[in-house]
Amino acid sequence: MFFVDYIGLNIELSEEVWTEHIKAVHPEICEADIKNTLSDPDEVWVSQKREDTELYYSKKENLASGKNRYWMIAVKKIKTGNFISSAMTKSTIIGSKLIYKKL
Amino acid sequence: MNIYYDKDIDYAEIFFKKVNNYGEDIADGIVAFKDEENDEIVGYAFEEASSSVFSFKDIPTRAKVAFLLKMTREIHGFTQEQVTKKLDGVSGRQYQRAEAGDNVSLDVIDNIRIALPQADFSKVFEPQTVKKVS
Repeated sequence: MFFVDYIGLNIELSEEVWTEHIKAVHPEICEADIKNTLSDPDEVWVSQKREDTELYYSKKENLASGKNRYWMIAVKKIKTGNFISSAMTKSTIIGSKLIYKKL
Repeated sequence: MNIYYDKDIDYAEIFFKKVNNYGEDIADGIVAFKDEENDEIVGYAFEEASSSVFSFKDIPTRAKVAFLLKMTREIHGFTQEQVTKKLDGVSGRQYQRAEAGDNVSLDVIDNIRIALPQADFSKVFEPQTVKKVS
């Protein structure tokens, strides 16, 4: 599967990562959540530990629980391309350096 | 147990249960995933996983063994089938159980250690001090 991010970068989600990882342990996430978070993130951060990994966040709106929740898509940007490593729900935004913030 | 390892960025997730969940940062580079219904911890994520998983106290030894096997296979590009062909006296099913985080005997672990010498089991089983009985 391929997506395009907010600056037009192609980002690949392999069948293995989608079926054996994301769908297997993060059942609350669907393809549309990934697409929307990559194309229109609220914030993008560099990972705390790795310069080659960027974390795309978008807020989940109108939750019945009233809790703060964000979609977070982790994208590794390596020599062979840009690949989704994981996708999850987070309670907070965290990263080492802010790259982008939606105004 | 579901174990995911991304060798390109040394990142792992270890899950014990499949439920709708959210991640909460609990330490530098470690996330705990909690059940949205009751906040029970159902998994963890680890950056710098090749070291941080083994020093983390809150997952059982069998999960660390399973992660070690998965990580070693991924790093060296081995399939499960390639590893199980080298086993002597241990069935492929027993190996799969070890890599799935099920309980297996020390005899099985010992056999896997010989078949997969690239796996550094000292990361899981720290040397113990043996007291001499007089």
